Amino acid sequence: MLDSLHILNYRCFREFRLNKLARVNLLLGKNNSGKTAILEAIMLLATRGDPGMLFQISQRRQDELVYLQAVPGVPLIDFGQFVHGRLTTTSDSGFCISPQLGMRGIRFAIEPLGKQTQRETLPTDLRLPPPDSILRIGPVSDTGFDGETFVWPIGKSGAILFPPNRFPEHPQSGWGASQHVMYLGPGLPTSQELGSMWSFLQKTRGLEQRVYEIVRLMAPDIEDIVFPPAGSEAVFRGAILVGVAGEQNRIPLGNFGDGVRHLLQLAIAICSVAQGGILLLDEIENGLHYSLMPQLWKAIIQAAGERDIQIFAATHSNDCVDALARIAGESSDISTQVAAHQIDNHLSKGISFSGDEIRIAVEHEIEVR
Amino acid sequence: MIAAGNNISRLHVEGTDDQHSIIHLLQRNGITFDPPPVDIHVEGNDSRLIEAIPVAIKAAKNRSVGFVIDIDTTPTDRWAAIRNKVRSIAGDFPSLTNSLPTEPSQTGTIIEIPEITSHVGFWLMPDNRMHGGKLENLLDTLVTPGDPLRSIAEIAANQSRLYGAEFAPQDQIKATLHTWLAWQKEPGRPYGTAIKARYFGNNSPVAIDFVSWFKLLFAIK
Repeated sequence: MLDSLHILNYRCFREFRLNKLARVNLLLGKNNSGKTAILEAIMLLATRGDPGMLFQISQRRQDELVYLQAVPGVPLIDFGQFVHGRLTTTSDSGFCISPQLGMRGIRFAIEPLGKQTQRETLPTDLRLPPPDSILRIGPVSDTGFDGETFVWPIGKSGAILFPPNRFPEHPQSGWGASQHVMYLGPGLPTSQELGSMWSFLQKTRGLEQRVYEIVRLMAPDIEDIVFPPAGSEAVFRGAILVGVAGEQNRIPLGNFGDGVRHLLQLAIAICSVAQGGILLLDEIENGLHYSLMPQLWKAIIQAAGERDIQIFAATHSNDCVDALARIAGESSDISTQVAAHQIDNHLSKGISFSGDEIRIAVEHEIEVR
Repeated sequence: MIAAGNNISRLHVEGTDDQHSIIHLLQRNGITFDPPPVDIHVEGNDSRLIEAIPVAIKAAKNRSVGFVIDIDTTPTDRWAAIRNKVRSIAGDFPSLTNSLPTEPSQTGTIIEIPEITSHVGFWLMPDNRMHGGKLENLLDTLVTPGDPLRSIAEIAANQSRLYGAEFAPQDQIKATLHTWLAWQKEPGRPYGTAIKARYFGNNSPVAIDFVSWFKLLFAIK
């Protein structure tokens, strides 16, 4: 589990530290305070600098991918978007994310062309223009790069001159029940998305039951969930069906409120993340009624403990924080597992509140926003 | 959490008497409460107020936060308890390790927390130094000097003990003031309304110091 996080030069953060991380962490702050950037930084650290993650992040943030006239239709990663300030090729350009300053983190560094060693071949795509500098990605410690690094071509504009769909498999990448880090964004998942998550989950025995257990923490009448079989093109026909106690026929998931759909997605995600892994939730409380939140938190915290997962949830919902505080107040087992962190990219570190402090804040009507 | 308006600063006080007295005293000194410049929040008692100090300070980014608490016993004990609470978050805000002085300032203490662009203030009722002091001691300074009713009220309160009155010795001043209030034009008004009705004055030296401390802490003209 991460105890702390140190970010250098990533997006809106010149330098930012998060300390006193707990098993379940709430990230609080206004829009544009940098909460999503922090989730991304954790993803990049947890996937050991997989460039495919840069692509996923760019896709999620709209308008970040770039297209060159020379090769229309080929999306490229605009590396400049990831770096705080202007992109240059000076020695401290690029960004770095580590559990703690000096500890083995991941660095994404821009270096002048020609700095690659003889053994390193720059992967190139002949359709694309020649590079201007190189992007070196790899583990870093106090003294600089410390381990195997990978190099990529970068253009003058900051674009990574290599098509993302041809990135080679990174040691940490890949979906599946053994996934180490997972991100859930705001918005309701489609049945298709739920279905593909479900089919990967099924690779490992026993996880289905765990999903039902989590769902039942909030909806005790649900007995099972049946997904329509995937066709060879993974196109879904038919609805996801939910078996409910006392009902002969299963009921389409669509007949239930949004809450159950959100919960199902969350339950599948929690079970999909490998033990010891990290789950990142970005404003997933949207669309959930505030009365459901305390139970939802309880379910999340319990499952996180059982599966040994660390969770980071970004929110700007007061209801969300209130609900967490109420749960934290109920038992010290729970309050030691949670923390809330105020994120503000104008400051150099997060302001952290332990589970107990969250409880005190709610009792005294102190707003922790 | 109940938002007292998203960016409004807060003054934590022990009880509703403190809240109303402070509001009316400030209004008598030219500060308008429409809308309130500061949220004056009642904690209920001194332990609850002290418990809230670390979290209230942490949550006060870009704002000011103040605490008004009765000295009650000895000023040194009270101040030590406050200092401990402030020091407990010095890990998050290193400037707090030594910025709170060893004794409260006689005109109210204010310190800056540069890490979160905040100011924190402490006022120990009545005057930051009186042994056994409380709100009533400050209100007492606002009774017109030489008011005969005040003298008789004190005598009566003293004598009441011979007839079985049960209030504790440290509450003598409360008994005296409430007795005095019982004899005003509108008998038995609570402190706040009594200040508004001008039974109490508004400008004893300690009241002026309090108002100045408040204005400085919360940047009110």
